[in-house]
Amino acid sequence: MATSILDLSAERSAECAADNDDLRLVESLRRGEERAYEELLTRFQQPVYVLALRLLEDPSGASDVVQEVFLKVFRNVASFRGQSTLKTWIYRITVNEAHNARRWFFRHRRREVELDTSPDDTRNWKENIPDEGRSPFEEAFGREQHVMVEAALEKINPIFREAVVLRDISDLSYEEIAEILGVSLGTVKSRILRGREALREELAGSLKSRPALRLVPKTAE
Amino acid sequence: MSCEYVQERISPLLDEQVDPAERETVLAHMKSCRACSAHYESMQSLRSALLGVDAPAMPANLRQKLRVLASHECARRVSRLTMAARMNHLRDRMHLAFDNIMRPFGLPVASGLLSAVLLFALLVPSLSFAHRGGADDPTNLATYPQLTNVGALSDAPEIEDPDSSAPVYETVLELKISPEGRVWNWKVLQGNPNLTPDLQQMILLRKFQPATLFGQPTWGTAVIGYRHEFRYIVQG
Repeated sequence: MATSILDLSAERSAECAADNDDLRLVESLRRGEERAYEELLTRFQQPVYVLALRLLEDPSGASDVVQEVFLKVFRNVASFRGQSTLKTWIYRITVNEAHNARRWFFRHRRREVELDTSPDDTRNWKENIPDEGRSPFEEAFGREQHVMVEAALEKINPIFREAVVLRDISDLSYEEIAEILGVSLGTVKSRILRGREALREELAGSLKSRPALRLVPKTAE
Repeated sequence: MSCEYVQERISPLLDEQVDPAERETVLAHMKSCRACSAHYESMQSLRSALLGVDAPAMPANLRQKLRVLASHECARRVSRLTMAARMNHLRDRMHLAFDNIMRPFGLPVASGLLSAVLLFALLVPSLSFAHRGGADDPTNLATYPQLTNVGALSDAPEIEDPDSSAPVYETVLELKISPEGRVWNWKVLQGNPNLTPDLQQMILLRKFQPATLFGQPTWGTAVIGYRHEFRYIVQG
């Protein structure tokens, strides 16, 4: 019992420290300190990009969304009151922007033909250096698995995908997800459950003979 | 407890979102039910697969764009803090604009100046010529009036260089010579101001070669000194 109380107090103090850190950063941003802008980008640019990419599954669209998100963050930082954490505030903006981008995409760009070159051409050279720690089989299998997961994510309902991505890829708590999506905790649980079920069905259909994934097909009672 | 109920609890169970009592119940059911156990395992695999999805690195150009965006927004915010900051911002912008306009001219002007100096330094030795110390060279661009007709006088005057001799003249006259070579006026510089009629006649009848400027006859002045023997000294 004593341990749990200690853990709780440690958790709270960590949260307080994070809140203070957020407020300090926001105050520095309001004062126009260059280091604060740098720090904000260092902390959030990569997670925001990953979230936008997973929500849209379109690298160029994700790039546009990330720029929009940071523009909004920089312009509206004065109105940030600290009622939520900086992280949830930025993630909420990202989810909204991704939602707007998806709607815009379906209205305008659905019929456009992609003329971009392969993603390898636009990637950093560091990304193309092979990882010698893994065998080619593991590498190939891991890549194939990732491709399948990404493809399955694309197929499920965007509403459920948002919840699953925020939980399983961005690693946020249920409370944070509820705050970001502006829904109740029960709705978050339901969306995550449905999203995972949908994903499981998608992957079970395509990975029936893959024991490495340890996916066992449903059997009738 | 139905399998449907248990399978709905599997997802929150993975996230530790069920209370301990319910957790025990669900786990106990899964031990006895193969289907629910398989469901749990597949859900667990799915979760680990999702967690293992690579986080793609941001494109380098996006990083660059974000830095530029942050820099612009930072400058914009600073410029709006106070009136002094606004004025500073405006001044900086003008300075930058001026720099941007002038910078393209910097290299051409500097290189032009340098090459002109270099060229001048190379050409100066070939342009230089020998000087005779102190003495002016006659250029014949401008000449003084000179006497041409002195033969009518019985006592022929002799032109002398006033510098080479140190004569004592009785009268020194300054004559104004017209472009036609005639004496136009005179002024007595030294001696008796009232000239004798013979001397006046002699002066008026003298024919001079007029002064020239760039080859054209022009007005000139001659200084004449004479003694009783009519020795003329012409001085420009």
